[in-house]
Formats: sequence, C-alpha cells, structure tokens
Amino acid sequence: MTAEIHFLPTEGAILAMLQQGDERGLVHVYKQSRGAVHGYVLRNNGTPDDAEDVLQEAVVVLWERVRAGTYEHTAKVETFIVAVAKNIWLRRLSRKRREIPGDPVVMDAVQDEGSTPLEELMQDEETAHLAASLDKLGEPCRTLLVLYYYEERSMEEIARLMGFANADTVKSKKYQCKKTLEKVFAHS
Amino acid sequence: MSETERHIADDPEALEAFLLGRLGKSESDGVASHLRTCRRCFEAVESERRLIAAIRRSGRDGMKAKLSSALSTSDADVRVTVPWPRILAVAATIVLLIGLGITGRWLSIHHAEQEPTFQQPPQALRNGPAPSTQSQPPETPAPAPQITEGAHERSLTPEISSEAPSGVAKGKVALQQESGRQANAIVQGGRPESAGQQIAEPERRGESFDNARRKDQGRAINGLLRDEEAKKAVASGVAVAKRPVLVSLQFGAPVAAHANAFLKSAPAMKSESLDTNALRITVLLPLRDSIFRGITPVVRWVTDDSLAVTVGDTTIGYQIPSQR
Repeated sequence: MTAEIHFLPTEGAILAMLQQGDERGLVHVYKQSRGAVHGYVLRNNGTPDDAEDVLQEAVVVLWERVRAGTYEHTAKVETFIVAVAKNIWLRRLSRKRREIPGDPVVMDAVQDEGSTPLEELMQDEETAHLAASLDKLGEPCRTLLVLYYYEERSMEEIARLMGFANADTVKSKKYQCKKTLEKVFAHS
Repeated sequence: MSETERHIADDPEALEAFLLGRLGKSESDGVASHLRTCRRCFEAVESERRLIAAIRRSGRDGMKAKLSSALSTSDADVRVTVPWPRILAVAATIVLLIGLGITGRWLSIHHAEQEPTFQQPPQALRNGPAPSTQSQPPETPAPAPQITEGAHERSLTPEISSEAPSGVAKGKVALQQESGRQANAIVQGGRPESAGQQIAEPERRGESFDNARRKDQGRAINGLLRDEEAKKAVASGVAVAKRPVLVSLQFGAPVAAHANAFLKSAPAMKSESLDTNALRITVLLPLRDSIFRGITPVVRWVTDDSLAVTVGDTTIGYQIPSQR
C-alpha cells in the first residue's frame, strides 16, 4: 500500500464525490461530524455504540439525499448531519420511552426533517426483519434491487454497472427478482 | 374507466411509480383518492410499499457497512503511512552518529591534551647547522625589504613591560632551553601548554611563498596559549620584528571545533610587513564557519623567538624553532 498525500476536500468536492457514488466522501463527512453527534447522543442517555450507529445512519441519509438530488446545500454539511442525527436519536428515544431533555433546536430539527410514508415504514421492526431476509435472495438479485429501489439508478446505469446486455434485460431480471422476493417475504 | 377509477393493482409499473414519487401531481392525487375507496388496490400498494421499504432498508444497512469498511480502511491507511521501523532506524543512526561524533571529538581533545608538549622538530631542522645564538643571522640571509636583517633590539613599550609578568616569557624560553632546541613550547604558568599548536618557520627568504608553505606543513608544532594567557604573553612585550616570517597556523583546543578541518587543509597564506613590530599574515582559512573567514591574522613578536598571532578574538602564541 502506497502512502498518499491527501488534501482535505471542500464541501463542494465532498458532495460531488457523493454524487458520483464515491464512498470516500462519506468518510470525510463522518469524521467531520463525529464529535458533535457523539456529544449529543452521549449527553442524551446514549452510549458510544448508539452514537456511532446514529452517526452512520445520518451520513447514509445524506448520501441518499445527495444521490436522489433532494439535498439542498444551504448550510454546512456537518449541520445537516447533526440535525439528522438528532432526529434519528429522538425517534429512537421516543420508541424506548426515554426521557429527553428539552432542546428547542432539536425539536426544530425534528420538524424540519420531514419523512415520507416509506421512511416512516422503514422504522418498523417488521421492515428490518424483511430487509434481513433480502439476503436470502442471493446475487445478483439483491444488488440489482438495491441499485434500483435504494440508489434509484436507471436501468441503463444498472446494465452498465452489472454487466447486463441492456436496459430491457435489467427490467426483465428485476421483475423476476421481485417475484422471488415476494415469495421470500411470504414465507418469512 | 377514468384515470382516478383505474385500478392501480392491475398496473404494477404505475403502482411502483406512485410509490417512488414518479407520477405527476394530478396523477398521484388521483391514485391516492382511488386508494380510499379500493381495498384491493390499497392492499397491493401496501404490499409493494413493504417490499420497497425492505429493499431500501437493506440498501441502507449495506451502505452503513460500506461506510464502516471505508472508515477502517482509512484508519489502516493512516497506520501504514507511519513507517515506524524506518523512523526508528533513522533515529538510531542519528544517535549513533552523534555518539561517534562526540566520542571522536572527546578523543581528539583528550589526545591533544595528552600529547607531549615537545615534539620532534622537522628533519631539516634537526639536521641543520649547529645552533647559534638568537641574534645570529640565518644561514642564507636574504634581506627582507622592510625589515633590517640582524636587528635584534627589542622595543618594549614601558607601559606594557611594567604590567606584564616578564617571567612568563622568560619562563617559556627557559623551559624551551631545558628541552633543547628540538621543539619549543610556550609555557603557561610554568608548564607546557599544548592545547593548541602552531608551527613557525622563520627566514624563508629566497624561497617562494608556496614552497615555504609546503615545507612548513608538518613541521614542529609548538604550544598554543589559550586566549587570556596569550594576551598576557602579548602584553608582556612586543618585540621588534627582526625578520619576515612565514607562519602556518594550526588551531587547537580554543577553536577545537574547527581544528580538525583546519589541520586537514593547509591554509593558503601570505605575509607582509605591517610595521616594525608586526607582520600581517593573511590566512585563507578553509573553514565553513564564518568566525575566521576573511580575518587577517596579526602577528607580533613576544620575545626574540616567539610570536603571538591574533586571529579575530583568539590569540595564539608559538615559538620559533631555534636553528643550529
């Protein structure tokens, strides 16, 4: 492994990396926001493991937003991450019926963090269970479905990434995989 | 059937587009309105939603795993970029070199201090003519342009001679005489001072400067007075210059840091009469250090056969070997 000299990227560069699917951008964001997120979670009845999990999830949310083109870069990326992390942690706490110190900023962040019906559903434990069963699908179905439904890539992109002949092939394969998944879900 | 009455359960692509937010607003509103009244379509949407949610959840977990992996790789990179073995090896080498340097310097200083005060004169001097008195002219007299050959009168200034411990100079001469003419040492406080050394070769008249300098190299080395003692020696009496002298300088302990470098490289030199009391000897010191660079040493007679050379703030004395 060769040593490299790295320059810290600007936020614009980080977002560009995320846009291109370069996970190294996530590492920068993660390290940038780690202190603030850990501090918040630990101050609010969380453990270091909780903080780590929340931070990772918040970073992934950023990645999803950037990939989906719904992220608006109006504030620092770190601010966004911290707000999302607070929101995630508040929801988890509320589920666990823990007492949370009043924090107007956090409440604002929660209100700003709108959630779609899908996101609400994703909070369910049942969803987690079903997601775990997705692994039973095997490859290439799992990757194909994740690329399409999670990363929201086009059929052409998926064909290029996964080596399919063309978009129609991907479409056909996706249909088959989805039917298989429905069967897996039905038996789980 | 109108758009709002269309059963989305029968159109998987539309159902998926609805859930993924890819329908236009009016179309999406129509589907939403239809779902309130069509239980079959509602259940189809709900089933599809759970499926997509699960896939996204799986995708998010996978993304978190990727992030963890990227973080651990990043940490590993940091570890790899710190080549501790190489750093330790370099550090050990530096320490070793410093240790060798200190040891070498200590040995050289220690060796210089342990050197015999009196050294063998050059073969040419040992085999030279029979000793003569100090006032005796050289064997091959070649009058210097500005200095009267054979003029041996001393012109000590009263102030200096009254303050100076004349015994110092006399003591030097006495010790030198005790040790014979083989070598001459300037004595500090009645004991030989050998911390630094110089050689002097008088009366090179008739020879080229370069030849004289070459012959001077490796000649008898005399003692060096430390700064303060040398200054006293200078103050003890300034002799009238009797003859031009070519001097090779070698610095000892007072300038120990430069001594080795100086010894290894014979300095280029030239001398000229400064006045009746002194010679100016210009030495091109091959030192990187700027302390002596470009400084013109001034040489003054201390006794009939001893000189003091001042280079910058350092004064060193040397004894002119007597000639037989």
